[in-house]
Amino acid sequence: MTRIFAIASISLRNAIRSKVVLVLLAALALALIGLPLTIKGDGTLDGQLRILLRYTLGLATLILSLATIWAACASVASDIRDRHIQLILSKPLRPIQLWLGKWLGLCLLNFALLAFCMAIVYFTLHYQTRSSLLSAQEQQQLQWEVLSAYSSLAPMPRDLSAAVERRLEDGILRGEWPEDVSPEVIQAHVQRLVRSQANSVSQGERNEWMFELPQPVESDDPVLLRYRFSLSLLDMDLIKGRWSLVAADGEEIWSEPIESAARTWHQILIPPGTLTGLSSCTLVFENLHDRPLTIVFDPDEGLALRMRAGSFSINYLQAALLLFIHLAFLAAIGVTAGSFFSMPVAALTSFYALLLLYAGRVVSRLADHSHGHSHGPDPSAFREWFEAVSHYAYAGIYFIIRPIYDVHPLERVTRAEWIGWQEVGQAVGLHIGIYGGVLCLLAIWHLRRKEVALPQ
Amino acid sequence: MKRNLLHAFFVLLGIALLWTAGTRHPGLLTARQLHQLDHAEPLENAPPLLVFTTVALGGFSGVLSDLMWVRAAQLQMEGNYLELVQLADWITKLQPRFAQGWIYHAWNLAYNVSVMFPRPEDRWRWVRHGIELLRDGGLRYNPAHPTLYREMAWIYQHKLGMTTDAAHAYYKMAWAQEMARLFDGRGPDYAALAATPSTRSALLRVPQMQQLIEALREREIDPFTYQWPPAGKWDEMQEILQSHPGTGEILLRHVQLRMLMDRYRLAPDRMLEIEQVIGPLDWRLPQAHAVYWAWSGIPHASGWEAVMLDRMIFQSMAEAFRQGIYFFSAEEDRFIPSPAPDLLPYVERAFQRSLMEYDDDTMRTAHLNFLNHALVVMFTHDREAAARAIFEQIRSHYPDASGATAFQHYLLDQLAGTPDFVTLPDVAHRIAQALYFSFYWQALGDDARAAGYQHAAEWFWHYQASQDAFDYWELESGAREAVLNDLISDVSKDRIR
Repeated sequence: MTRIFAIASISLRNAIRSKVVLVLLAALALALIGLPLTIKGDGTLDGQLRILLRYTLGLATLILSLATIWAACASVASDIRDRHIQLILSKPLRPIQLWLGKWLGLCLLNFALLAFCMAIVYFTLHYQTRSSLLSAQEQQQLQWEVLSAYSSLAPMPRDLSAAVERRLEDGILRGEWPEDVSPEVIQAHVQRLVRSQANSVSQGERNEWMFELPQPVESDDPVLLRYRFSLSLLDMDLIKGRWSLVAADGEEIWSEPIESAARTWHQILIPPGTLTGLSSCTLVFENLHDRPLTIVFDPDEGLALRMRAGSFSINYLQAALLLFIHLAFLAAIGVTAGSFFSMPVAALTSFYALLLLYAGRVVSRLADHSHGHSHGPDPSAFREWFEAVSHYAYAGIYFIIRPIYDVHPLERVTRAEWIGWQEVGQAVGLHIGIYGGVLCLLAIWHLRRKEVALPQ
Repeated sequence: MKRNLLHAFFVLLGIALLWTAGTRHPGLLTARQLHQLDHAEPLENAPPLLVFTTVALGGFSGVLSDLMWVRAAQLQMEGNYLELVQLADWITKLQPRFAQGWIYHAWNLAYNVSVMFPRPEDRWRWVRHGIELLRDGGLRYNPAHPTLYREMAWIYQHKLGMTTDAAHAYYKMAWAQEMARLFDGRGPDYAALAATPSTRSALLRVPQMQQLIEALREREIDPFTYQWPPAGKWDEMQEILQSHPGTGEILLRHVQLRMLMDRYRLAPDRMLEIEQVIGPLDWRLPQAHAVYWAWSGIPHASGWEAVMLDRMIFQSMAEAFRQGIYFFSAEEDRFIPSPAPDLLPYVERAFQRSLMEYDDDTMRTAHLNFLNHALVVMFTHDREAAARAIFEQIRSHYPDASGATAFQHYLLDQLAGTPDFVTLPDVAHRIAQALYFSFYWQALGDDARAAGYQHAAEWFWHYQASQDAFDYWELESGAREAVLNDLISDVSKDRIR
């Protein structure tokens, strides 16, 4: 352990001495001071705060990511280039200790810098929302909508298998299903169709969704109803309707008329105490629009009750830990790349890995769509081959990054979405335990074989 | 030693070269402006951060701007609008000379995003974001780009001035309230503004001014902010200003002048010039601002852009004629944009100016449509002589439109074609509708319009109806009852009882 710490302290010192890292740290300071001064927001206080959180910390994380990759690649690659590695490896030191020491040094640096950034933004946030600036009502609204953390509760799934079967059989009788389309594709299509119908409300009608409350709701906890819908027609009108909540005994316990636009998120506060003592409830929507329009709630995420799950501070801490884990993972990529390649190649390889992580959604779409879309009536053999290869390449990349790319702690904090310790634990296991472990093993395997004392 | 001397020499040489390059800079800028190599002012008045980002990022600013644009589109698709103002600000400022960027984002905020909010005050905030982006950014960095002026004028003309947005009445009221802080009545007192010290130093030279400002600051009122008049301190401020007669008025006018010029970017000289050429404008109306921005763009425009800007001027004037008076009825809690018949000669002059310059069919059709509308407005405002004069103008300029029709029939045809009457199936309904409006305006206290609609009802009765088919007095009684049912205040009801 002492050896690992010794290497870590050298790695830390080298990182601090690096000019590139110093420039990036200066950019970090500039971002922390300058960005909050330029933030405009949408004219509301909660908008201003969310953007402060999202962009100041987002930019800080980006700069730290770049600094980490650079310093991590340099930590081994520069040692090899400058032949310091010969001195290090002449000591009774195993490759794993070298890798862990280098990685740990960078993690310590990241920990300190990230903690500093998070603390600055946290205090800026609290300074901007100090009680002398806001009315009691504004403070409470802020507490409920921004400075809090909610978990989303989706409606209980309905058993639609009978409706799907019926629709499939109807389609067969009517000859609706083309013969050249596989049954799986038709089945998936019908399932989507039936789910959409189950989540739609025609003019003058109503629809219901059942919610099972997982834990008792505290009497002073607000509950938020979050929804988004599409329309059967392209219409810019505000849709008139009415939400209500009905208890298990059939009593209506809350209702609110609405006028909402389609295709955007809406959030309604259900007053504290409404759901206290209940284990389940039914949400009802009535379509009261004055023209024939059917509205459709997205079956996957168009409707949710948001229940308070924890405090903003704890959620913020969890987001900070996720960011730290992300940086630790990047450090692992950098140290491993530095063990394999020279400094410029290692840095480019690591930046490419970072880019793939940030563009995870694009990669997932490419993996989904890059195969089977022939352009033109008679695609050439080369094009078919190229499309197949690119599909498998993207599918391979997506397979590797899928478990780790879709982590957006800052977006979730700004949207007051609870992260949870379980997710932090999973991130430690995945990013550091599994992916970091694999990278470490690769580096060890390579360092054991690499001839580092070649004459130059 | 020799090496150190060499280093020092090169450092000094570098400094000397930088200094020499710096001294050449003003001359080059002057030459650039003199030879009109670049219409826009150099970005030297831009905020330091903007200069830093545009210079330091160089070509990468375009890449960064693209990435932010992708993010903005993604967020908008997901229905998350919170960050759009910030992203639009950064995207445009990364490429401040890219006019289409300003145009797209201003439009997006004012039109696409605003309508996603149900509350008028939220919508207004987004429309304002669009206006501010163009006015404070786009036009600041591209002062010679005519399309930016056209877009700016269009937001005022269409989004605020017309009725396509469900919240248009709120926009009109909110804008009128903002403008009312800058002047009393319909517009600034140009002579008084010209005599007002325009700079802070000139203001401070006014006797007793320093004491007045200190008195205000002692009560935590800063006269040199855009938050004027100060929220919650209006009475205190009035008291202090009144205790400094003369000086208080000068300070008030100075603050109004600075807000007009700095915040709203309206030049009083240009406002006066427009009024002298086009006619009196009510600057509380969005149409006046549409005219202002279209007028401001004309010197930079040519060809199609010039035609479009010119059309916006007479279209806005015509719109101001159609809805240029905001009729408030405090008793009824009603806000009704109404025609401004007094503007007729000025709108006509704007049309004639454009017809002389671009006499094409579309322009002539627009003019005929306007005259037809003006005919109805004049008649329903009890100005029959003016309506007859318009009819004569139509006969002489557009004989195909009027044919051999008599004035009465032509007028009633036009009236029946207006939105208030067009869906009514027969003359009896038209008479009832005209009587309804007559009682309605009588109840709201506009006797001229009440008389105008009563004449319209009588004319329908005399010239278009088969008079035995129904009872005129029964229709009148029904209309009176209908209006009484629609009114909420006893004062209004007493006017027609």
